[in-house]
Amino acid sequence: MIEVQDLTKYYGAFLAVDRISFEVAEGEVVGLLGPNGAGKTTAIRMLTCFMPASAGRATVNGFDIFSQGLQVRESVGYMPENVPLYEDMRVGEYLTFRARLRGLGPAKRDTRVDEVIQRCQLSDRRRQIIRTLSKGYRQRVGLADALLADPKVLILDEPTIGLDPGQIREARKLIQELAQRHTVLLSSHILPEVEQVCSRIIMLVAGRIVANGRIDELKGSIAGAGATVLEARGSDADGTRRALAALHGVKKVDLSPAGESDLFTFAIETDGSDVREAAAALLARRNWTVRDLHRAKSTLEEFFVQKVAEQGLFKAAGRR
Amino acid sequence: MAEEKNRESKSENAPRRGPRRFLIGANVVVSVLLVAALVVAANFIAWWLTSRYDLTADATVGHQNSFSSRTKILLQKLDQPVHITSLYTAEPKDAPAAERKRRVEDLLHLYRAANSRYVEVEFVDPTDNPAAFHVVAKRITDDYAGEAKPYVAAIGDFLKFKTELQRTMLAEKERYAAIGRDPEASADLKTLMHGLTEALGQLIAKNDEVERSIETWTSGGASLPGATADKEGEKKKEEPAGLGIPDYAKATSTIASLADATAQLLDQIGELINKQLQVEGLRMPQTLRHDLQGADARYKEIKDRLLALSKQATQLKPLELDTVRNALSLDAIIVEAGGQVRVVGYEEMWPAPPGASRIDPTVERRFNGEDVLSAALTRAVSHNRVSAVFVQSGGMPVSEFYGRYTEMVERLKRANFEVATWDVARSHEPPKVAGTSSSVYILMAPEPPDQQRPTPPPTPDQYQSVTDLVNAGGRALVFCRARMSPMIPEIPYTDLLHKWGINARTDLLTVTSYPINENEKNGRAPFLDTTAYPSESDFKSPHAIIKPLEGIKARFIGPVPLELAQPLPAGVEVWPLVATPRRPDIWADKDIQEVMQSHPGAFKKGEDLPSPYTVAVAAVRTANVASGAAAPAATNKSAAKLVVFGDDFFASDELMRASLSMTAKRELVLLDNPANGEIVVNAMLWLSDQQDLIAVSAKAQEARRLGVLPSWLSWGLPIGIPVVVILLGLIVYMVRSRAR
Amino acid sequence: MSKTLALMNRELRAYFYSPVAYVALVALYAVLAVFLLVPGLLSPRGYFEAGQPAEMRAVFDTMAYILVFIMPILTMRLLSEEMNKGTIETLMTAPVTDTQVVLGKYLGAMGFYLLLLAPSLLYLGLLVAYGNPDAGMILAGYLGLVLIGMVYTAVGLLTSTCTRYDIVSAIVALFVLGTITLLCTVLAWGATALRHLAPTADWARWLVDRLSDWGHRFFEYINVAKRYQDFSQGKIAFDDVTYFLVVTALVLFITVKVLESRKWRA
Repeated sequence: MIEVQDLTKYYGAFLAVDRISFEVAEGEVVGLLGPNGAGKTTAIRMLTCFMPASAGRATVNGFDIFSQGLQVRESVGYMPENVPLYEDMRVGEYLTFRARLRGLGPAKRDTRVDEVIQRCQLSDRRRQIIRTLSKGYRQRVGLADALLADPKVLILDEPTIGLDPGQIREARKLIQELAQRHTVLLSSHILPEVEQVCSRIIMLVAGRIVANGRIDELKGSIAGAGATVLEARGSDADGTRRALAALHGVKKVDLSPAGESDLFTFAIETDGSDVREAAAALLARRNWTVRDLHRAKSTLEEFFVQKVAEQGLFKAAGRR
Repeated sequence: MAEEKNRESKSENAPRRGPRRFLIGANVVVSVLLVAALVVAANFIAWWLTSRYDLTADATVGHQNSFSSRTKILLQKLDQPVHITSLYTAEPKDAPAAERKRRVEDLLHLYRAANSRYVEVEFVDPTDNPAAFHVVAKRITDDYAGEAKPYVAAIGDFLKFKTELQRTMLAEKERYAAIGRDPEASADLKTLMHGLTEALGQLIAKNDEVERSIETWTSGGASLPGATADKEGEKKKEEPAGLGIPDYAKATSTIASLADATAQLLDQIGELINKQLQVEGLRMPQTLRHDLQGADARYKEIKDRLLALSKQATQLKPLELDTVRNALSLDAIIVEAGGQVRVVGYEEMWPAPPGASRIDPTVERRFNGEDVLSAALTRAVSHNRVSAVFVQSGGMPVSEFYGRYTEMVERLKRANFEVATWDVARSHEPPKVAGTSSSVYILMAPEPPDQQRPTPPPTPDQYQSVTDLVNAGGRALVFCRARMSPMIPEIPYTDLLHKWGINARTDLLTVTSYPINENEKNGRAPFLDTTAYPSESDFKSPHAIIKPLEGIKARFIGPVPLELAQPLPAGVEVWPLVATPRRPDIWADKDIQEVMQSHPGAFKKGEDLPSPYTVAVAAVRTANVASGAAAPAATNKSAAKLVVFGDDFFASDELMRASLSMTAKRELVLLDNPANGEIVVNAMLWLSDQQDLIAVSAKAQEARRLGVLPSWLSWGLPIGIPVVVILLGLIVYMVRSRAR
Repeated sequence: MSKTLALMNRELRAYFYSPVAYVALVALYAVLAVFLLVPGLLSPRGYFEAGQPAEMRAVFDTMAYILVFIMPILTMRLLSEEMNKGTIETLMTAPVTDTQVVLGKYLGAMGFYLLLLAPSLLYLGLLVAYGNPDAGMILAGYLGLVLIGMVYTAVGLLTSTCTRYDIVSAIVALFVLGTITLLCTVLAWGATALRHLAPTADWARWLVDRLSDWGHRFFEYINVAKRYQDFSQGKIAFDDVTYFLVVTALVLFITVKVLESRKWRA
């Protein structure tokens, strides 16, 4: 559905998006993840033909974003960040106007407007002036607008930003529903949202794609997966470390003081096998009291932090 | 900042920005430039086409921006070059002047566009370009070189004679001075001689001064005032710019008065010397006596020549050139054609409304350009003109400046008629008017007798010769009048009308009823206002005279009904020109005296004549033209024509000129009856077979005016609109501010 | 086409929803009322009085000048507001071309402009009821008003496209309109006055003469008010009509290009 190749955007001399390439297949729900200022919105704006790319090419629904902008826009339903709307119009009026802009005929227009209003649960707000709507309802109006032409591709820029937790939950539910009928590309800087909704993640940091893959794949590739953390009190810390290291399946053990004089933290790196029981037995044997023993869970968040941190290192290197 | 730098460094291996952007940008710039060039080209072509082919449509119903047919035909018929020069000038700060200049120039361009073969227009701004004006002045002077010849001769004679005169006078002065110095001369003689020397000295000086002045006057004078010295244009309006043209008349009149003064002085000198000789007698020494004697004889020849010179100078025909020069000023138009020059001044071109001050700059002046320019053109190029002969019996000529018809006369002159008066009480022969080929007789209803100098009422016999002329194929414009008082004589030419099957009911008076006040009955007043003229629905077809008058108001004062004989005499055809509308509040009242004295009253059935009826007709008679009196040479061979009006007041200055009048609310209102003048001129043109010139002048069209309207409306409407809009806005606001 | 109409429809509605439009309407007719009623401004006694000429020339001419101040207010928000509020993003990512957006906005503004003129028909009604005005002259006057409105609206739309701040847009539009109506006369005279420099060198004098001549002609030519006065007098000249139409087309073309430029400028 969406194919992106070496897409690049400069703002003056500032490189906002740096040769990103990715694909989104039909029916996929892909999350564009990245910290603020990573170039997510810029990338989306290029894909929706709001802005031209400085270099590279991309097709949406088989249409080139540079030369076939109109067809691209016809096949995309787009909800911009912060959902700008004509504040002076009523919800119904606005959607009818947008339906006309999307080239829906008079007959189809009314039924579609009714449908999206139903779908986005706006029926009771139909005659309300947009200026007086709450943020959540505005978001729904934006979504209703994006859905009007029943587009093949839905592109949502930060669809949950500024919503309260309840609304976020509703929005997620709605997007999950939509995923059944549309190809969805959504951007977010909030991990759990992407994690819950998307089947695939494209991570963008400082204008570059740093990761692109299914969520479980990404989880697996996190460095230090399967680490076991042990916090215990006792003497001869180094001896204990060596003993732990000698356990079966343990690759490496890092020792660090945990604040109090005889309190230590051991980070046990394993080859994936569970060493918690063996470690506990060993500590008991050596008269250590265990305060905490757990396997560190491999999360996206870790991945995210790690990637951003890598970029940070890169940054530092670049500065040199 | 750091991040930015970082990303720039990253761009080393990123694709280069620029090419795509440059490509699009250049493309856009080129296309914008192309379109701009196209726009310039389109504008240029449109401008060229418009000025070349005069692609300007006149949207006005009244053709206010195009020439009247009168002007169009005049321009088509033009067979000699015409040069029109505008002397309009405008200072940057003076927006109204610039607007006037623009309108005048537009008009002149129209003239040229209408006949580019013969019409040449020129725009000379004398304040901006004095040299160009001097060229014009020179050309005008040359145009009148022939006319000015006698003047030039007289001036030349004087200048020639003047040297001799000066010599003689110097000799005489010397002679008397010598006598005065003689020790043998008596004290009286010395005093006399001193006085004579002094007088001669003054005269000699005066002669020299006059010579210098003459040089200035004949050479066309100094440079234009206000042109070079003051750039502010302060003297603009009051300072005539005519000083490029020699003032021969001033020179000759000065010469004449100088010659007279010299001759007189020489006379006096002779007289005084003779007297002195008598008084002193033989007491005077012989030598002195000898020197003094014979002054008369010596001066005789000089005096004769001086008197001859004075006579020569005073008997010169007045110069047309002087008229031109006196009329010349800034903001004038010069029309040159066939060796004739006409100057159309500012006041003619932009007449102030009646009653307004001429020097008040805020007065809104009307642009009368086409009327006056075309009139000037007509007079400059016309070959055969028609005389308009006012026929009356006794009394002062009504067409003269003190009469009641000066406006009518002015309009006829503008339409190129030559106006004359024929007093049938004095002469049975129509006056011969120089330069005209035919005549139209205007039969004015007799004036009421003058209290101081009563004249006998006119008799039908006196009008016999006119009647004969008209019946023999002549043309006449006939005015009737109701007998509003017993003093008013019956019109003496009813016979003429009867012969054409027209009966003027002078015993009836058209009145219009009007409410006297809210409760009482209606009154009646002897007037008829109309903006509707007989059309096809009323009569056969609209006549040429009234056809162009659609919607323009005419006012008549108590016109009499004109009844037509049934059937009409053989060969006579009659068209109604003005008819009363089919309305119950208009009728012809029998009680003329009562109407004139007290207005209340109403229509009396049986006695009064109900509307509609005709109050003006045009008639043609083709039969019997040859019978009766022999056709005079003055009339041409085509049919006799007659136009009869049931009222003569409508052609008077009071109704033809616009006037300001006080309304009941003590407000000044312009009363304007533009159709009155048009009907008369059109009728005269029809009568003189110039119907192709029949038209409505632009001036009459401009007289579309608002009638009386409720005063609350005149201020309520402008204020009401914004108020209503505010209310609408509030309503919309209230509707929209409701949430759902 | 239908999309253009949809945009026009929305613009037109937006006018009615915004107080600015009513303020403009009221301002136009209130100022006009002052001119009509205060003696000595348009006529010695008041415009709609018995005996006054039954014509609207002065109304038209005055309106053309008042509109110089009103039109920028009406057009300032057309695109500036979209850019300021970000709705431009929703608008431009809908399947509409830049030309459709410009035309839709333009037609919407023109539509409101025509409605702005509508109340003046009441004046006409008064003239018809109590006088016999020259129908052709008044029609030509309205035609002129429509044409001059086309130019004014196009200029306002262009300045609105150039900036996201509507006040800036209004001020620039006011300046441009003021130049092509009021200032042109002054500039034309300024060009003529160049001649008074009268340099001594032949080539310099030639140059100054050409400059002054061409400058004068140019400013006379682009003078919208002067051209407009032809219409209010009842004259419909081919070059006047062409001028208004072609200038409108040019300005709209530039507007489209400016709107497009965001695709390559940044």
